Formats: sequence, structure tokens, C-alpha cells
Amino acid sequence: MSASDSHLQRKLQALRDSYSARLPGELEEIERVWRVLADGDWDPANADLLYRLAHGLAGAAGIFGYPQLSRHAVSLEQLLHRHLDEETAPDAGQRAAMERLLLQLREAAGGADTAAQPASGTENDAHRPADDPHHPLVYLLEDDAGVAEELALQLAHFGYRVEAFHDSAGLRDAVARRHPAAFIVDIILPEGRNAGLELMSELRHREAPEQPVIFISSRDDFEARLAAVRAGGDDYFVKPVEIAALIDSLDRLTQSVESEPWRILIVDDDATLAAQYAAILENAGMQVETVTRASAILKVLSEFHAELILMDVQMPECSGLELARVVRQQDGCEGIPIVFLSAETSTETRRKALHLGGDAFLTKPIDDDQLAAAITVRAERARFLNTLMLKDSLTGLLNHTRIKEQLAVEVSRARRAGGPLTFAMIDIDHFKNVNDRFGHMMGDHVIKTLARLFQQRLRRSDSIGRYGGEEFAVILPDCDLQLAGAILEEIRALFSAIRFAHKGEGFSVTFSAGLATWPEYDNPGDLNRAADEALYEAKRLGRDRIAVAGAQP
Amino acid sequence: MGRERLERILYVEDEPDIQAVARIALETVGGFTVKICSSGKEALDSAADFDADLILLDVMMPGMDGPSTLRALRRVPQLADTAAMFMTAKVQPQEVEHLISLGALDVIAKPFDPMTLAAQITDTWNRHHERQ
Repeated sequence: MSASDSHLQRKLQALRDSYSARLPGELEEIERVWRVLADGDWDPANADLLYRLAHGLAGAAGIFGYPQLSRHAVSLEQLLHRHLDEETAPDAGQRAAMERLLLQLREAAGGADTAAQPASGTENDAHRPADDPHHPLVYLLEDDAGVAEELALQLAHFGYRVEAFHDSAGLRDAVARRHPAAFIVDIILPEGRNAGLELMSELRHREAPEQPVIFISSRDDFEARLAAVRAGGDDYFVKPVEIAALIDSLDRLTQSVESEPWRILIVDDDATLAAQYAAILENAGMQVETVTRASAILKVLSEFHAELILMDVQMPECSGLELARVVRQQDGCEGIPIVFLSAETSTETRRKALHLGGDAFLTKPIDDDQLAAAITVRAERARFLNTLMLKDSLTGLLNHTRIKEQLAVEVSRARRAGGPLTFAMIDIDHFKNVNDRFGHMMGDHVIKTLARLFQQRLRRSDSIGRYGGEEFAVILPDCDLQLAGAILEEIRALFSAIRFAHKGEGFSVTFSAGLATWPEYDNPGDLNRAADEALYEAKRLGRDRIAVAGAQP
Repeated sequence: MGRERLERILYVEDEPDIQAVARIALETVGGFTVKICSSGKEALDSAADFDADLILLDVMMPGMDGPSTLRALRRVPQLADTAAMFMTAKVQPQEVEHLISLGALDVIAKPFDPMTLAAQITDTWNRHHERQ
């Protein structure tokens, strides 16, 4: 070994020694996070943390002369990764396997206390419901037991798991154990007129939960609403709470109905800056394209359906203001929001930019969060306006024309991919009775409720449309009859269990559905007819059921 | 496109421990000029000025991971064609294939041996340049 080699080896050895000294601390941290995970319900954030710790250990331990430790860490990392990927919590057996790996980690690190077997967490885990990201947990603080019960029941129909508390102490204890996906809190409690607000500000400061808070109250005054905002409230509902609106809000705040990422086009002649803005926006979950030459913008616009353009004001080929006009004169781009970004602070330029149809003027330098927030707000509004044109105004589902177009698109996709496809027609049973007995407002409410249920239960790749009146159409790509039937059956059962209430009178509603699949029915027209006939058959057989086209009755 | 000989490496890795070993492996053992960045964002900030021959990226990092960092770096004109390699503990064939498809020359398995890492990188680099 040469002198320089031995010098190197000494340096590496020093690094190894320092790593070995820190290793017990790292293992302790892994243990600690595991305990929190295993003793509580499977919190995805902690699972992710543990996954990263295992990943770090796998890389470093291998380099620093602990190959066995590294291998066990890799195994643990892979187990965790699968659950994070599939958004599932491990069952008792899988937890036991992780527990074993942790024990092996300790042994491989050399400091293992092999005599002390870990208390088996598996017995405890067996009767604990696994955390399920499709059923977000909501903490409800409401002193009126009747209201609480009714809310919990209704929310459960939409996939939320509700734990109700009737006083501050109960909620406080629960938060100390575990954070929910959202809070619904009554402002007025027996403890005081603002007790709900005070509790939530206190929790926010002490526990710093970032989970959304929805306040409910019989108060509708400005003072109460302002106090709710100051206490960190994300939304406010006056009692009696309109369930559909509450679900809308919960869905949005907990993102249990996933939305497509915003599509943003960045125009900046400085490629480094463009790349940096792109990275910031991509990190905020957006889909980004960049253009560095103004002349390339039309081609990119035609291929990438941008929902918003972020544009530099000073560019060599032409000014951003001119380019904005060019874009605006392009077919289909009349309404696309354009946000200017510039170091320019002169009011005249700003005024001109806004006059020419720029939607906002951001000043460089701008910090990452500010940029992402400014873009998000405007993209959100643009999509909302777009939605008004393409979607059914009552339900937010695709309108009749759009769903028919979509069926044609999906059928040609199925032809290319050879995959199955199921088309379903759905009709609410005896809907006229609902309107006649309870009024059109109630009828609309029933339609919205079913629409919401479809949005929650179906996949993002499925298309849902309101065909008109009380009729819906659903396209399920890559879904054969059996699977589609099972999915719709689940929705049918859920829908029929929902209790609607009108002036103290409770009632429930059902629907019938007809299914047809490609390739049994080869083109959109045939699929449509076949599903419609099956729907008629379901009605004829007594409603509240699902019938399949071509099946023997 | 780049120099014939590999001299300058832009290395993106979030773990300080691995950074320290890699610095020895690449600078002292390999004799390369190395710029280490702890995040994709930091890499983007320094990328244009560093004039790297090779971008070496850890795959799993919090925030921007290796693939999205590479994608962002590719938008910087100086780095549009710069050679890149990933480092990862995951070495299933389909993952390697996926990473190569993102425009990397090779995927280096973690944990690496600090004494041979530089040689491994140089080998891949040379093989790639012979083919060109």
C-alpha cells in the first residue's frame, strides 16, 4: 500500500469511526418512529419518514462497512415502499416482518440486545382498524349528540370515518394520540360562546396540526366569521349544515377527490430562470412546459394545453406585451390567463400589461412559495371558468355532449390497447316523486349527492357525465363487466343507504343501472343503445338493481 | 459536447455521510473536480456556472428527486446534453431500465466502494465515448 493510499485509508477510517459513533443514535431514531407507527394507526407521514430513514441507513451503512445492516435496511425500505406506493397499511403479519427486520438491524449494528424481544405489537394491531387513505378520519367536536350522530352518519356515506367528541377535553386527548385528516368543530360549546375557536387556536399553536378546520355554528354574524378565520378556520358553515356543501369542502380540503395537476407554460428567454421556475412549480405538483423563444410559443400552445401562461416581460424577439396579444388572437386561447413576471416596477408598464389582458403582474425576485401560490390561485380560477363551459352546472360532471365525445375517445383507445371497457347508464328511480313531494331543491340535492358519490368512488381514469335530468353515464376503461358490476353495486348500496331529510321527514332514494362492454358492443352507438336497453331491463325487473346487456334474464 | 476526458462532476446527494465518502472517492481517489449539491434546487442554482462534464445524481431525495432534478437541469442549455449517471440502492432491472430511459449513461449501485467508485465511473464514461 502506497503512502498516499494509506493516507486515504486513514481518512476513510476516520469517516467510518465517526459514522459508527453516530449509528446507535440513528437506530434509536428508527426505533422511535417505528414505535409511533406501530402503536398508533399507520400514519402515512410517519411511514414515509421511516422509509427515508431506512433508505439513508441502507446507503450509508453499506459504504461504512456494515453490509449486513445495509441489507436489512434495504429489505425494510422495500417493505415500506410497497405500502407507501399502494397507500395501504401493513397487516399484522407484515408488521411482524418489519418488527423482525428492526431486531435484525439492531443485531447487525452490533449493539443488539437480543435478550429483549420486542413486545409483540401484532396482537394489539389485529383489532385496530387499519388506516385507510380512502376513508379519511375526521374529528367532530359537537356537544349536541343528535347533530353529531346525524353528521357522522352522513359523512360516513361519503367515505369519511368520523370520531365525535362532545367536549374540548375529549378532542384534546384524541389529538395528542393522533391527528385526523380534518376537524369539524362547533364554535359554541357548554364551556363558552367561543370555546370551539379558542380550543382550535390553542391546538394550532401547541400541536401545530396543519389539518384543515371547518367551523360550524348557529352564529352567522361577521364577528364570529372573522374570529373563525383568525382561529385558522378553512371553512365556515351555519347550522343546520347543508351536507352536500360540507362534503364539497371536506373533499377539497382533504383532497380525497384528486384533481389533475395545473398545466402551466413558462415563457422566458433566460433558460436557467425558466428551468428554475419550472422546478418550483413542478415541486408544487404542477405540470410545466418551458419556451425560451417567443416564436416557438404557438407550436407549444397547440400541443400542450396550457391552463395558464407565466411570461417574462422583456424578451429579445418581442416584448411580453406583444406576445400576449399574439396569444390572445389565437383560436382557443382567448381566455387563457397570462401572468407577467418582471423586474420592471414602472406603473406605466404594469398598467399597460394589465390593460392588454395580462391577469397579474408579479415582480422579480419572487420567493418560491409566493410564486407557486400566485399561480395556483389563478390556475384554479381559470379551470373553474372552463368547467362552467364544459361541465354540467349542477354536478360538475361532464355534460351530455362531452361524455358522448369521451365515449368515442375511450372506445378508440380500447381498440388500440385491446383492453376491455364498460359503459354504464344510470337512472335515479322514481325521481319525479322526489321532486313532487319535496321540491326541486331537494331533487337537485339528490342529484348532487349521487354525482359526488360517483366522483369519490370511481377512478381518475373513469369519466362521469350527467346525461340529462336524473340520468348519468359512466365510462370505465380497463374494466370488464364483472369488475364494473362490483363497483357499481357498491355505489348502489351506498346510495340507497343515504337518508335524505326534508322538514323532519326522512327518505331514501335508489337508482338502476345498465351495463354494456366493449368489445361485445363494438362502437359507441351500439354501446349506448345496449346500456340503455339494459337500464330499461333493470327498471322492468323492479329497479334498485344493475342489469347487464345481452345477459339472459 | 463536453470534453473527451472526464474532469468535472456535478454531484447531487442529500445524505451528508455519503457526500463525505463520495468526496474522497471522487476528489482524492479519482482526481476529479467535484461540486456537491445537497438538493435538486441547489444543483439548479449552481449548474450553469459549474460547466460539468458529468451530472451524478442520487435517485431518492426529499423534495425534488433525482429524475426530476435531471429533467430540470436538462432545461438549462449548457446541460441539455451533459452526460448523467444515477446512483441508487434499488437495482431491479426494470428500475435501471427506467432510469436509463431518462437519459442516463448508467446506474451505479449503492452502497458503492469508495476505492473503486471513480474507476467505475471512468469506465462507463470511456465506454460511452468510444461508441460515439
